Amino acid sequence: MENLKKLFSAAAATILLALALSPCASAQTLGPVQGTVVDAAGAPLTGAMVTLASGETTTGAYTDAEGHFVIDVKEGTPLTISFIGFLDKAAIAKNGMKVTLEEDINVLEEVVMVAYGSVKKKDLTGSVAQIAPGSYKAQPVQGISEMLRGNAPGVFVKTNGDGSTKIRIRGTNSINGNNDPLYIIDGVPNGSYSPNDVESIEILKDASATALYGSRGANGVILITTKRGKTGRPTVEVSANASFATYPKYYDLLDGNDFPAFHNSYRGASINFDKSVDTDWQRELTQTGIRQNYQANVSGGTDNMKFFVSGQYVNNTGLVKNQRGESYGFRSNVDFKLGKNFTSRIDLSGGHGFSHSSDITSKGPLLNALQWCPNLPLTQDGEPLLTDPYGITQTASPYYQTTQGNNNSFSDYITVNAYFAYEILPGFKASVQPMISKSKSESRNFDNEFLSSTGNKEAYRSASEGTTWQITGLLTYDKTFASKHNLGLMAGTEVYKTESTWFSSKAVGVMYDYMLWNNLGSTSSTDKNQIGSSYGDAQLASFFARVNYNYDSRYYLTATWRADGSSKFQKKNQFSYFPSVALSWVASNESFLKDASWLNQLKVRGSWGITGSQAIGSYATIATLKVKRPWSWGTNGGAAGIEVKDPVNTNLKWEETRQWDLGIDARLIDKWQIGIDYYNKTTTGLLTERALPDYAGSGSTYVNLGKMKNTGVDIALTYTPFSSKNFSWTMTATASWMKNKVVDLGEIGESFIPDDDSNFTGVQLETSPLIVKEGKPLGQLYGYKWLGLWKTSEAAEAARYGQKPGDNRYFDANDNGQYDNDDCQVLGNFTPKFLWSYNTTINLKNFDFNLLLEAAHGQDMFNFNRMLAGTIVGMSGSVNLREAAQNTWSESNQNSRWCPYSTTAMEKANSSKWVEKAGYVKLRNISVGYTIPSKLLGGHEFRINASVQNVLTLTNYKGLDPEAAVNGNRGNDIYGGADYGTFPQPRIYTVGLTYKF
Amino acid sequence: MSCSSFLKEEPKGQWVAENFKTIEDVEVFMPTIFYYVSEFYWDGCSFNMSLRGDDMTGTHSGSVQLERFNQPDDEQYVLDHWYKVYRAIKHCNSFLNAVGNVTGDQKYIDNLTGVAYFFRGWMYFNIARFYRQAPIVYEVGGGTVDIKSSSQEKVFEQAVADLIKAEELLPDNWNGNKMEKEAPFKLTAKAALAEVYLNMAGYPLKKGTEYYQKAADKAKEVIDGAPAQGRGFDTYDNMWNEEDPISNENKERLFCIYFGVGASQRQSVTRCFYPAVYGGYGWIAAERTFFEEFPEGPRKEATFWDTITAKVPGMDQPMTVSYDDPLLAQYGIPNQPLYRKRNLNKEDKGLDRFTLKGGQRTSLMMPIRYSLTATTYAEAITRATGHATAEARKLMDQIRDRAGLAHYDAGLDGEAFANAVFQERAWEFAAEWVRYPDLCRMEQVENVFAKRSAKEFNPNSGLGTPSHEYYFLPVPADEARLNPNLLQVKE
Repeated sequence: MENLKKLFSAAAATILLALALSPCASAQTLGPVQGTVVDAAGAPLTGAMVTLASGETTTGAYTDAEGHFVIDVKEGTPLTISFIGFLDKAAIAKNGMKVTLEEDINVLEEVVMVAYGSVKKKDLTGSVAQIAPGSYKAQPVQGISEMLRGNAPGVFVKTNGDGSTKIRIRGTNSINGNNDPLYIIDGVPNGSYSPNDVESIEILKDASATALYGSRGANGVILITTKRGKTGRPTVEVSANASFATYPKYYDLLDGNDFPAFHNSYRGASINFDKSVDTDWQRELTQTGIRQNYQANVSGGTDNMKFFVSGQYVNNTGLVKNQRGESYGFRSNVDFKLGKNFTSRIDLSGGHGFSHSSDITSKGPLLNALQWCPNLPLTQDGEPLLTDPYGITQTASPYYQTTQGNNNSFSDYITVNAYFAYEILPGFKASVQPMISKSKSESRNFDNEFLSSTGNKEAYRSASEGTTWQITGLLTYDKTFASKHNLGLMAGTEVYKTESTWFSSKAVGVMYDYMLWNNLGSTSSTDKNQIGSSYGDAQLASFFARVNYNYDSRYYLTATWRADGSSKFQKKNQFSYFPSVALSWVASNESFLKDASWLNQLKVRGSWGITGSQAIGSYATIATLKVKRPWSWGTNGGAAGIEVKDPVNTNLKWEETRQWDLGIDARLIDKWQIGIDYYNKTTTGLLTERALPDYAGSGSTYVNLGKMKNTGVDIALTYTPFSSKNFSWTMTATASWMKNKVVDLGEIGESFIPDDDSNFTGVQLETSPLIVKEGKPLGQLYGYKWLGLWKTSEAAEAARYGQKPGDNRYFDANDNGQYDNDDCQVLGNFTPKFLWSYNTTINLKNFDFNLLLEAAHGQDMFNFNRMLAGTIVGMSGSVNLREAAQNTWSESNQNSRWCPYSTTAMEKANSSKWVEKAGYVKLRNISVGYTIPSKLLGGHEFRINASVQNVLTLTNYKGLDPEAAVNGNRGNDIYGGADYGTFPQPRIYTVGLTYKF
Repeated sequence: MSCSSFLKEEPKGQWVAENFKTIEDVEVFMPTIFYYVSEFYWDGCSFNMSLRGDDMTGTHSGSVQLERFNQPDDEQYVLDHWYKVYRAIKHCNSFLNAVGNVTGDQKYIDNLTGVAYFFRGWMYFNIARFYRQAPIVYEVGGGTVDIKSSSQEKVFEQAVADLIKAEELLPDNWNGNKMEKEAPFKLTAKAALAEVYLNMAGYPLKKGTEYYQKAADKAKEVIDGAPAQGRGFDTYDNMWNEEDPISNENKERLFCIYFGVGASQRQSVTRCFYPAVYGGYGWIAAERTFFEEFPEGPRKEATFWDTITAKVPGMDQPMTVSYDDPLLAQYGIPNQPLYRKRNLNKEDKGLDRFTLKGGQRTSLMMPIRYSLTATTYAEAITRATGHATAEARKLMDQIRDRAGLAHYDAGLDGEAFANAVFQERAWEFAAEWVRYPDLCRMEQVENVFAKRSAKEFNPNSGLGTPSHEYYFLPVPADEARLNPNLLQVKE
């Protein structure tokens, strides 16, 4: 709270400063003049600025909520009345004067941010989805992913089990590389922001839009523009939100009453369970999560100086016990004019975050909760129970795992982003944008001897620091020739550098628990302690240019080119070149359509271009060394040697994506807006790990090979049946069809099986459950085809596999009497094929309402949770799933999928038995809000809102959440498709207040 | 700051050879090079592809395959030989690519550079005399994944080029240096060059007289320079010393590797020559015909065990029987003589003669010893000039004397003398991986196979028919799978 106070006092200081600078700070005594400012419809304008026409800045005034102003001038003084979005108006001071301002059509014309600049929406040639704040205003958004949901076709937002999200624009381009889009915040690729600070978001999808980001553009670009101050009286906005997260669904497990009898009969055991105990392990892990979010901002300014200052504080108590976090952030965006032709901005943002949890990255707690006996107590003698005294499961108690870990992380960041522009000649502008960003993070962890992997008390501290800077220089020239030739030129250069360092130390065998990480030196033996440190750097030097030309606002051409020089490559591959070209035709501006009143706009677009992806880490092309065993040249003792660590490929270069796009945008009878795009992307030179021949050093190295293709159609349809001041209704539907294909794997061959990455410890996997195959999409699930349980009539055939009736039967492709790798086949795919959404917002007088539906179809998922709960496999010693217990195979129930206890059941995790359809339709959000009319509050605005997120899920998936999948949070898309110990997304109830004055 | 310096990565936390500036920086490559060169010689790897000669035979289900003439390209040991050679080359290349930036005592830098060139040249020689074609690599890393093979001739030439550089850069000796016992010196490079030229003179390149002369010249330089470095002929006892080969200053050493010193080092090949019943691998034994034709005398004594001591069920005491005793076969022990010089026990200690000390044995390997260079001189000068020189005769007399055999007939003509030396090499360097390449260069593989005993443990029937096309090995299948271009030969 101390920090919150500081924040508010900082905000208050800023307001005072702004007022001091504003024209009304010093009063004159020449007698006041009163008046009113209204718009063309007669509605009062609040915050309009009244100044002396002479340009003298000592006197001035703002209009209040009723449009009134009072200014200390004599009657007859020439005044200028100005307001954002309206044309300035000259008037002579006269008591009771009423000034009507005309809207400035040019300003109101929608502007879209694009790479290194902005264009009028009507002049856009590329495929860009714009997300205005209005489209998510009614939702309690906590991050960018929620702003994108349901607002942009071709964008897939996936929430992972850990709550993080993965955003994919037009599918997956790379097998091993990162497929995350590039985020550009106010023109720079770094910095953080609060959702409340976001003015607009643009998603650049086609190559014409992204190629100016060159080697970072292949996965699409998300441009985030933060709010800035506007000319006018300072306004303050304060809001507070409280959210309550609840667990949406639990597996139906046997309770303490049913478990003992079933288990003893199932396993043929005679354990004397304590039936007075009935622990619901799933529920004991969770609680109602509470999130509080407070934010405040102040904005305003004069023609010469504008500001937007905001602060945010978030406090979070997790849905899973022993998880909590806290963060705060601030932003100060200041614009100032230092003369007629010189404009500048200085933006400062920073923040701090803290989170605490048990170490649940091992996925242990949820899995163990599905396997632990309900007849065991949570605690014993006041301490959490650690192990199962009945000996059924060998794992630690899920409650113990969840509540006893002590992992903490801290982070801080600060970013300064400045911009200076000088208009040398009319239409000819030079600008420079320097940015520097610093971040620090720290971990402090303690695991006692029962939680650590070594059986010792372990304490750990690590610290990392990063510095990134970038300088962009631009020259732009805009000119209209002969009234119909509109030309826009831009040329730029950019340098970027990022550096990071890391240090860690781990003490194994810490003497006392209470010391935690505060005395790493006090270990029982120092030889197990570990220390480490690292350094990384990467540089980019770029040159780029753009030509925009249109003839008579009918025929448009945009061509861009970028050269990116990267430190990650060796000389000959250091520079890569990324061109693009786009053409568009605004048919609605042709004379033959100009008068068609039903057609507001019709534009046909086409583009082609090349982009790259940052799929390669630093030092990937530098051979590094490691210590090798010593040699002693025939005398005892010996000297240590070194050898090359991993062979490197000095010819490595970026993955390259060629994309073409055809699109149509139309606006019909003022109510319908439609955008359709077809895209075709081919990525070549896929960064792939290739096994090296022995003569070349053996092992493996990264090479560029192969080809991947993505095609699809994005459709966005917006219908606004009503748009009056008292009643407006907007609905947007999006649809995206996506088709991914691994076309060629080069020297790797026709397919390869990715390492299972030890994510599936505890299930019986004979190979990784995934395969990458030529001619097929990425994300193929792979394993044995399950044919049911052997029936009693098939006893002889079962015996051939060493099995008996009731055991699992799989397809034996080569009929060799064994289930082996040769019998494995593709069982499904975890990438959705079709996405759609429906987002509607209704404003009725002072009420607003929002509903968002989101759906993904065509994907499959391994449900390993259900397997562990319902079978004896891996470390699971009991069947806890009620469904399995009540429907176990028997001679009279031969169509069951649940085996009786058998040592020859051969329960294979990677089999079609556990593959389920994971398509879903989710009711993501329902919100209602009410704004108290400003008249009643003297011009102040007060809004109250309530919403529910993840209200409802329609799915055939039998797990907790069809979106929960392990490995989902990795940048690459090769892994996924298995639900294994991941927590479902919670249902969140939010109430909030916003006060604006 | 220029663009190119801005775009240079700074791997501060990484160990990068490019940053090496001092002798101490690059000296750390040396243990690694020796380590991987030694790996080529440990556990019999270097012998495996020589089993097709008549001196050694496979006595293990794994090694019997290696005697086949038509070695399939997916045979594991076809790859193993290749793999170990190239791994040693890789580390030589690591050093050679890093040493350019180093400043300091230039003479010492040159000496170390000579070591890397020597081993790279020697390893290319071990590719050239075994494989039909192979790639030549100078860099370390993935940049060569698509290259084509070079012809056998080009690989031989690479070996020559490297060894000539080594000869120029290596010191006369390493006295006082920690590597003094093992590091190659100037004479080592000359002796190696003599071997390469001798092989190039014969099949398949058949460069003839010119190369015999080159071989003779280099060998002569070794013989003339040897006394100054304390090198020359030595006794069998000294050469095959079992007790302490490390401190034993055996004069024959021109190129040697010590095994079993220090906890981290590999055991020697000796274990391959140990019968399985005594905890060895039972991988290699002597061929019967070869043993039977071997001239009697102290050399035969020092080379073979003709008895085998075995403890069989139902017998209190171990029995010692002739290698030919049918009783052995009854207990699954091959009826083959064993290589005493590889087992390193000169005394018959009954069962103990095969016992490893703590599972390890210190031993010495000599890929090139003085006697080898002496015979190379004798054979090469005779084939080059058509007659045996007095020096050649003198050297051969010394070898025959030591073996307890009469001198060659003074009336032998050049051809007969050279062939006698060729045969002498078979006896003298039995189980020293000289015989099979010798048979190839003189196109004798088919002839000696015809004499093979029908009583060998590994029956002739499984070996196929020897012919010139099978002398040399194919590119290993696994390598060609990862780089199909290897199947082509660079123009």
